[in-house]
Amino acid sequence: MNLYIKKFINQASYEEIVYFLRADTIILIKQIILFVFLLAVPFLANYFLQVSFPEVFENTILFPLLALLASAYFLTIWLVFFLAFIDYYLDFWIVTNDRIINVSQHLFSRTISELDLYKIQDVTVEAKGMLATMFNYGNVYIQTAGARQRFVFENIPNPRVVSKKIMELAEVDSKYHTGGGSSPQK
Amino acid sequence: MSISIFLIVYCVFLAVFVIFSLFAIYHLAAFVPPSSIAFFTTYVFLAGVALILFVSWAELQGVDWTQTLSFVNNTYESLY
Repeated sequence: MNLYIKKFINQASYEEIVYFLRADTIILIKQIILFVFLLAVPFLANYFLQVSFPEVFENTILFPLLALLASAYFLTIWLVFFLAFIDYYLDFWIVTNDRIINVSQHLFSRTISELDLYKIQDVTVEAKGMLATMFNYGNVYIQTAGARQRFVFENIPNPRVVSKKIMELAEVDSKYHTGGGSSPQK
Repeated sequence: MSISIFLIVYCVFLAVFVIFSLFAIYHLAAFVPPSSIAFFTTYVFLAGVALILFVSWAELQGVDWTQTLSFVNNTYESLY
């Protein structure tokens, strides 16, 4: 995993990785539950048709049409679920003692953005909803003075702990950049 | 027009499906180091696709694809 991370961040000798963050596992579990529900829909429709319209299954034209539609439906939701997993797995944030790196993956695009810790002005935590409160996950908004106003860690676990640590790191980095500190060693 | 038109439309869908699947697998291969997760998810995905296609093929075994498609005279009357 370390080699994998280094591939993205081009790690400097003084730089230490503090956090490697992905969206909370509960986000993936929510997608699995939705997937199971969508998977059940054709089976329920099949049951309904068998009970209410059994003639459909003997019809030589409607039956192949429905079978092909069901096949296309299953393939589509299977692919969507696979893409959702890739999106979950390949979207991550790396926090070092010098900067924050965001790697964002979509089907036809990939974005890697960076933010220097000393540019951070404010860090805000947001945990919306019952699930977020129960499972302790949420968003962390990082406000900077630069052109990019906000850097968002979406649905990460332990957002309060992460935001506190980022503020600490930003303070240390800021002291270094204003000449008042000695860490990180550059 | 025969009901093989359904198969043609399905084949077009399959072509789009293959393109998207290849993109997805490419992303896993290109951006994830060779790991058990990348292999496992790709394997599960391909196994699922194979299963869906096999079940579809088995269900459609006895279908006569040369039948004429006529909703008014054929489908409606055979339903009621």
